[in-house]
Amino acid sequence: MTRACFTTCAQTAAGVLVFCCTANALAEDARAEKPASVPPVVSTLDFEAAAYMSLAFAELAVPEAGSLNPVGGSLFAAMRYVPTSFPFHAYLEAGGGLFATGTTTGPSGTPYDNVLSAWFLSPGIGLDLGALRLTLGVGPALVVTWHSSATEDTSTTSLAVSGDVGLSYRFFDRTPWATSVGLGYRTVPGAKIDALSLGLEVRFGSIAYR
Amino acid sequence: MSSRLIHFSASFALACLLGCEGPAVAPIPAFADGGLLRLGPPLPEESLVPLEGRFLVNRGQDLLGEDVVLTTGKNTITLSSGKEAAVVALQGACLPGDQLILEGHWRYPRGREVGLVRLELTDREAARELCRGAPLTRPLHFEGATSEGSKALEASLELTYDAALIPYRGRFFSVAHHGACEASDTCGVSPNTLETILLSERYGATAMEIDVRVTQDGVPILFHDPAFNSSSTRGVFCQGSVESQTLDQVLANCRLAYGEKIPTLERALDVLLDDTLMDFVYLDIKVPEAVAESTKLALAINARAEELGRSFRAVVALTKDSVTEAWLKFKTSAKGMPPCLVEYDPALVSELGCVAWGPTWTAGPRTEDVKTVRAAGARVIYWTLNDDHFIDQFLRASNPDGAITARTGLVMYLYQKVGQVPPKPVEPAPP
Repeated sequence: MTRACFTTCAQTAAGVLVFCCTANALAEDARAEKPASVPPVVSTLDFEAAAYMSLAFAELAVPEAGSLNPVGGSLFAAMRYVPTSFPFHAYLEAGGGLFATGTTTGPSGTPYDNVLSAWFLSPGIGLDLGALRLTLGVGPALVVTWHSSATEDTSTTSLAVSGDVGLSYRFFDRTPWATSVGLGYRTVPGAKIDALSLGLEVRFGSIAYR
Repeated sequence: MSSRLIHFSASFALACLLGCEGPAVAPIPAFADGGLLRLGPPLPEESLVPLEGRFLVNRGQDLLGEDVVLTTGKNTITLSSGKEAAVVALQGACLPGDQLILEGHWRYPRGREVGLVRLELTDREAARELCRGAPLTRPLHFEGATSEGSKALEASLELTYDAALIPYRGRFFSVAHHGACEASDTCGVSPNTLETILLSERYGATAMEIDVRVTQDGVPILFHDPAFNSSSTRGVFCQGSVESQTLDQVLANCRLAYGEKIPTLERALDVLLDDTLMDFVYLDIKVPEAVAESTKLALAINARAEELGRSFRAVVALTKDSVTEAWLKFKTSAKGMPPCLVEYDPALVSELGCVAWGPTWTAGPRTEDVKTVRAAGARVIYWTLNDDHFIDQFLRASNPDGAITARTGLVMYLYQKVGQVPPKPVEPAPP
């Protein structure tokens, strides 16, 4: 039975190989017969970078025994596959940001300087409506906090799920360069991060597929 | 558009997207005028136990069903009902004119319904006896009223003594599952806090299960999850695993969901011994790193309980192999050990000399294992029984010594209704 199965599999594989080779040869023949005009662009792979200022909606556990600065910043790089005949596109974004800093005081009287930051990897989808772009991404976030005092420095890391929505307006576009202003809201529900961000998004490269 | 509005809109959109909706909280209601308890001295401690019994509900059956069980703790009086697992947490005071007043609140723990309760002992002679701390010589009858939320009292409540309770102190344990309420019960008190320890007794618990983890500097604290997540803690810098921060950092950066401090195990044990009449505490040690320090604290509190003449004991739960190994390692260098409870393998109970077996309810009553464990001189306490049907089934099938539950009142009510007094642990037969 095993041998019969192996034989069947081998025959199937050989059949697929022959089919693929034949199809490929036919496709090459077809391409060779095409006229020498430039075909239209059907999609592009865009490379982007973005920088944002952020405002975190955060609170200290003991507000009366510390201070909080909820203003931060973040940097992202993104790769975006944009079909020309379809308003939706897919993207993959990676980056990191600092969301809040602050001082807290323990019962011992020790003051701690704290920093909350996070790294993101966020696949998502976008919708282009003229110069407006709406994006929605969900992905993992690595949340890192630092607590430092005069005598010790400690850090914590935790993995959580992040979600973000963004709205951007493209005010400059000359392939491959494009510049947009973007407003976004990012949340990491498991790590108490909710932040509004405003920044600049730049497309600096684009590969066209025809 | 204000930042608050933007925040709200964006949060709403993402919450819808991610399917997260925070439940509403039903906190403990309070009398608008402060209530009557403040107008007189509290009912003497020695007069609490004489109040105990099964009571018929003559009026107020819509709220509490046909009957209730009245149990007591340290300055607490609990009515437990089979209807909606209702509990009524009361305290007593002796008012001028031989008035004995019981006041507090009721709760349906599965929902968000709460309300106020006030009862008065109708027999002034009995009230005078109880307020003097004299022995009670007559049956009890209470009349009063209840309300919805913190509204004015309006619905009548009338209770008549029916029968004595079957013994439960030191015999049957309604063990609060890390507190009076589950986190999902939204009762306004977080699990594993000093506040919930006190509330647990008010809700009919006779023992307490608490979760123990250890901070970076080796201090055992009460916390369930491995990390400080947003569902159970507040504070933007309260992040990461429990063992990654020192106690000082935890207290600087973290508060629990309703604003409570994360307590140390040492403080929690003191509260359990000094401020409640609970029979024991079940230390669910989550990580092996917490075993040594927690065991030392258990030894210390047990020694103090003995000095005070209390039967209270801290019992260390061996929940998995890694915890058991840490326990055995500590045992080699320790002069004495607190009692232990094995949660998983019943054969380990006698092998390790533990006092109890704590099987999960999901495997059923396991009556044969129960017999074996009892023959070895140990008790059986199931975890975690919350549903009426299962509590009833397990009580009838194996007559356990107790159950860990988020419905402490219901477990006590059903024990009184369908249960039997569990056999006293026997001395294990010599090998």
